[in-house]
Amino acid sequence: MSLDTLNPALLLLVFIAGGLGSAIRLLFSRWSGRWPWGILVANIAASLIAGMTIGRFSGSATIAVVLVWGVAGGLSTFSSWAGQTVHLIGAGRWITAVLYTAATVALSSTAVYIGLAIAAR
Amino acid sequence: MSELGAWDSSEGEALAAEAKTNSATAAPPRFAPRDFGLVFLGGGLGSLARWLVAVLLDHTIAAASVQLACLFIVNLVGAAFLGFINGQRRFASEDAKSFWGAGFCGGFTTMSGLAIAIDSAVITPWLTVAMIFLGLVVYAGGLLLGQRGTEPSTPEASSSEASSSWAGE
Repeated sequence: MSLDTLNPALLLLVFIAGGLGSAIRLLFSRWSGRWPWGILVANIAASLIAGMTIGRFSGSATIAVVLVWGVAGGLSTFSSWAGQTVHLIGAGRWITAVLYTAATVALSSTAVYIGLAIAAR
Repeated sequence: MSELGAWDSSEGEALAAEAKTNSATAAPPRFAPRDFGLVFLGGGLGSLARWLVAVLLDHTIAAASVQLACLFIVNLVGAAFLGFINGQRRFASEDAKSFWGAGFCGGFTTMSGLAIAIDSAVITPWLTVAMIFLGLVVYAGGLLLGQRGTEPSTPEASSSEASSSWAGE
């Protein structure tokens, strides 16, 4: 990653891409029953996008920064996972909380691998 | 996220009871066209802030540590802030929840970044567990801090508030 840039055009692109990713996450977040499925799927989808991008482009390329830091970063969320999990624990649903957390971390990191594999084909 | 609603002390039990029987979330977020605009703006700002944290770290600490430090900062600060938002009456409006909660906090924090770090061994399994544990702790701490600030009390903090570790500021 080339983090040494404060190029205004890049900052604007990260803003727009992050906003778009976040707005798409709002759509996903509607899908919630006994499990917060929407946020789980949003995190997995974002990880897949991030993996495919890293596999396809150099990490310092503008397109990679915009897709990984903007779209994938905006689409995925750690804070919503934390809030939902604390809420599950508060409701006494410990098993769901543990399974939701394990699924989020395991499936997201697997999705990055799958994205890399898809990009390498 | 915003669907968690405000857990003020009078509603907490009712919300918890409802959650037990219903779903993973207490109150569904409002889902109006304006929420897409608010989440877009808040999420864009949060994503930009996450990038700026990385740029700032890149100028101040060793390059090898930037990714890990950035992850810890954005995820823990973002989770704590979301907890605060969900507990604070000042952020109780649907507009505020969309912009600051689903928008800013959602855009500022990242799970895909954590997934990349796990796969590239930037973060060790134990540090991953630590981030997960701390994320829950700081969210709950932010929630309590937000609720405390909205309690109808005199400006002079009560003895319990003064002795509490949450009343850090």
